[in-house]
Amino acid sequence: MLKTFVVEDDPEQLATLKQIITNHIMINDFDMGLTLATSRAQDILDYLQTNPAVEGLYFLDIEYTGQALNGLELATKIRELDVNAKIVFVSTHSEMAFLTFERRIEPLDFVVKDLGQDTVKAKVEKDIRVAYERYTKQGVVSKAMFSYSKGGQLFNLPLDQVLFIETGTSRNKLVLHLTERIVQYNGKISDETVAHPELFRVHKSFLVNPQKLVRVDKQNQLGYFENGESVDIAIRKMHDLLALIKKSQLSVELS
Amino acid sequence: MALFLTGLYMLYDDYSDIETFIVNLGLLWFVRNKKYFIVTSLTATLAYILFSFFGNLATETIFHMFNWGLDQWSGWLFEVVGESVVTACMLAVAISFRLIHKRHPQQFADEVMLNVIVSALAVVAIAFFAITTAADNYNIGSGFLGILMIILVAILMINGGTFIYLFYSYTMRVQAQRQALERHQYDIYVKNLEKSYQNLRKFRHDYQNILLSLGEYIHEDDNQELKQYFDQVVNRSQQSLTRDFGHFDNLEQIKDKSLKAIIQNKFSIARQAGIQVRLEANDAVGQLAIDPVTLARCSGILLDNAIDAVKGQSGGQIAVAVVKYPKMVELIFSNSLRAPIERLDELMVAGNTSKGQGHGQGLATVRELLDPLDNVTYEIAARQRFEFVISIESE
Repeated sequence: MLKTFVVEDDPEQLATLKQIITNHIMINDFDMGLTLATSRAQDILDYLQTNPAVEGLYFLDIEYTGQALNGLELATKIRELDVNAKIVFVSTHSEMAFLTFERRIEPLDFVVKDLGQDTVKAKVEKDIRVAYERYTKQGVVSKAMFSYSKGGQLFNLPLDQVLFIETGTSRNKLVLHLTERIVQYNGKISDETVAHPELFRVHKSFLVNPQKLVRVDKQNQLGYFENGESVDIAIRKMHDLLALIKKSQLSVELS
Repeated sequence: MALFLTGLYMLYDDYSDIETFIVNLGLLWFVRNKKYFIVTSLTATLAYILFSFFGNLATETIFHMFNWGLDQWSGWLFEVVGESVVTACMLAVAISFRLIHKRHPQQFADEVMLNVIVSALAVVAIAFFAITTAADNYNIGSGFLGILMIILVAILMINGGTFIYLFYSYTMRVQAQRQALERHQYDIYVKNLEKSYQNLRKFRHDYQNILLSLGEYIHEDDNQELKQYFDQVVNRSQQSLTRDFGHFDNLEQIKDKSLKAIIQNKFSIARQAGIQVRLEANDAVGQLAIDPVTLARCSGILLDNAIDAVKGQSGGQIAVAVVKYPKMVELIFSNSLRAPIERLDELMVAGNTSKGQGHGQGLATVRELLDPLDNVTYEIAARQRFEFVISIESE
């Protein structure tokens, strides 16, 4: 069962949210339940400390007047206790810090209260469906994850976004190329090669995700990705790479 | 003036001839601005007097060195050499005057400075004529006169220099004091503004929540007219509440002065261009572990790029977030995009500007500035919006 949680310090709004959620679960006959709907942020943490491995869906307001925690701190703690938590922030537009929350919490969605009750209802219902869909598919495709750290902070992302890692222009800096993002971080390519066996070292300065290669140019020793970026492939690695492509039956065009 | 002064001096000078006129008047060619006329003509006359005096000495020395007898040449060679030495000196004065004028135009535009120079020159000129007249009347030797002249000029120069120095240091001190006072008052003003802004925000938060819970009650009720009226009120107040608040939100959380100044400045430029801006800073952030000049340059470039990119968009948005972690602070600069960016890696290469998107400019510079720093890394992303993240680890 997918457990759902609500934290909202305004009693009327809490009642409305509760009603939307229970109604939508009932109508669709989802294997879900509203486990806890509270106005106190601490209640959620108490629950998570006694019940591990929840993987729940959380609807959180951002400012709780007179409480020690705010929405961001609560969400950070929830992430620590429940790594796969699906978090939805429900608040007024002026309280939302979209960039900050996205960076720190990676929430499922933002629901802006001031857009009117109908919009809020529609968005909450959609988030329930999305979360439920992910919950039911979780067993089928367990998503491989990739992580890098910066300033003592761990950033996680799905492995299928990773294209390749490249040595940077200055010492001890690596450049991670993702499908829609380029990340510079501190590290050594030899350490990363050991830490991520799912990636393949094609060159002394390139570590590649072979799943994401779309074309290998054998003549010029280049590997291409979907967005047009390319990496050099060392001669002595070419053979191993081709063998790997054949073994894993990857759909890579050869030329 | 130059004519008059030269003429006056020629009454006392045995060697003067038509050439003196030509040289002196030739100097006028250098004077295009009437304001400098008095300065130049006085300088020219005095320089002529000095140089012809020392020119005679120099010419005599030259003659003596080559063992030429004065009487042998019946004076005409003496005249030629003497005049050419004087002319060269005069030209040197005139040209250096032009050069100084070109190099330091500000000093020449300064009325006080001009007046000081003019009075100094006038005093020297009058003193010289008075002394020569006196010397002629009482039959004092010209060598003694020369020494008197030099001492007089030296005293005047020292006096003038001291006066100018004192005057400038005084004005400078007054100016610094005034600036410090202004800065202090500005700080107080900003602090007050921030405080009242915080109060306003608290009020807005309460007001919105009251409206929302009121809404819950009204929607449970059956009164259709009340519902309609309430929705209207909420709509209108919602618009005015969210629209015009962006520019000063959370600024008080940023304690790093250079970062604060640049965000404030660029945000006000963006707002003038009709761009929506937003600053997110959930926690107070103090001094960052990065050179303030580097930080100011980078954030300036990134915000300028963002403004350029958003300018043409309808409903364009710029947002800056300052995110605090236990051992790191991240600055996120983002803006909405008109069209997705395909090749992020190409944006960072120098000379690769993608005009229209407006992001290429300066990104290479940002990279050059940040690359050598051990505790700083960056990220660049373009999903629904463009995003540049600077991660600064505390050392």
